[in-house]
Amino acid sequence: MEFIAVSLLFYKVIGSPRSQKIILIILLLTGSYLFFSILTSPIDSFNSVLAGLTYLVFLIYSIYYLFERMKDPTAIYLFSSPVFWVVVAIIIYSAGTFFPFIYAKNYMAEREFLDLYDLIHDPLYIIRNLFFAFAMLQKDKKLKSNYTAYGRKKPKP
Amino acid sequence: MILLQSSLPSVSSALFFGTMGMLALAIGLVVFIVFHQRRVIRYQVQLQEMEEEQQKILLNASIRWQEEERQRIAADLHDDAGPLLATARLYLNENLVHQDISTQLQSIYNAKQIIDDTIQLIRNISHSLMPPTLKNFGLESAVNDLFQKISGSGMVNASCRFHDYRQRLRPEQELLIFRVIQELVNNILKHSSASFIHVTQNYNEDKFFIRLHHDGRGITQSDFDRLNKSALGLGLKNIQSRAKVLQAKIEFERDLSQTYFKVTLEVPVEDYEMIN
Repeated sequence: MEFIAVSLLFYKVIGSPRSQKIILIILLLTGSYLFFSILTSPIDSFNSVLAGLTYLVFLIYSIYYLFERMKDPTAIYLFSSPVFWVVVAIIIYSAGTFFPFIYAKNYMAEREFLDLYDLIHDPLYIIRNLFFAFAMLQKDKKLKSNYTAYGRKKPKP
Repeated sequence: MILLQSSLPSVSSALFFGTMGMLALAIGLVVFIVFHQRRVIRYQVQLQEMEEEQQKILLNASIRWQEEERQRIAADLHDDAGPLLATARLYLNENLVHQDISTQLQSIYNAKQIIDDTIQLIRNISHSLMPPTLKNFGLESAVNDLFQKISGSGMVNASCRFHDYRQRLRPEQELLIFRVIQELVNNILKHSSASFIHVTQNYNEDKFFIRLHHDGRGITQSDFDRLNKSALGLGLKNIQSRAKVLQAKIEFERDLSQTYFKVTLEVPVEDYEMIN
């Protein structure tokens, strides 16, 4: 669900039709694989491949979004765009939790690993939610300005 | 397999350093974006300021040009028309009725001559404001007319050729283009010591081109840009502001043969209504 929601968010905020097509293809292929893996893997165990793949795709989406915004000369008020802060939250959380998720399947039973996992995961989880909250606060300001929620200038009516 | 075989302390350190590395990369990327955006914003602000400054210079030039034009008209009226009318008034004073008939006829004839001269003078002033040839017959005739007058002086060989002007542009566009040509020709006559001036017109892919060649001392695009930013070159600023109104591009260059200077005015006409 998280994968579908984030993919749709990037589908909406990444402007070019070509990139949107690529996101749809990634969504379909990776989504099908994830769905198949969820159905086949045991419910009680942590699936590192699924989590790693999901957050790797999120990282690629985020880097591509930031790269696209850098190229766009109209996106000068990027910081007041809520999407930018959502992307920052996703990129930090995905980058920070990538390795813990990869190792989790084999070492989750170890106490020492679990402590380290919590030490890394929990602060990143809080940071991500703080960024989400900050993004939500940005939205009110945005509605009054001449820029869209994605940081692009609104077309003249 | 490697992961399974490795011991827990090495996994912990790999996990810790791997995570730190990934976080450093992610934060570095975000910081880079933030600084890049700041630089872009600073650049945009600078660009906006430069544009505003340029607009101010052009506006000042336009106001100065208007003032000079008003002063010229006022001087023409005051120095030429005023004395002529005053002289006519002298001929037609109250004492005229007490004089003999032949003197009266002579005075009336003189006054009539002076009034005719005044009418001609006012007509000249009016024509300099809006050439009647341009209004009635279009840009091609007005430019032809202007160049015939210049050639007639015998100092410069001036010629023009309109290759594709079957439809007239809107009157205000024609006037602006004519004024640009007039100003360019005026500059060439004043500063370049050219022996010939040649103007050609073309129409290609929704663009109306005027090209002016001369063999005197000319300016290139860099000189034009420099003079536009300085306090000098009022005429050039007027050319620039008129080109801006026309949404046209103007380019000053030296011919490939290094013999001639060339000025190209490129006016987009897709947005303009063409009139028959």
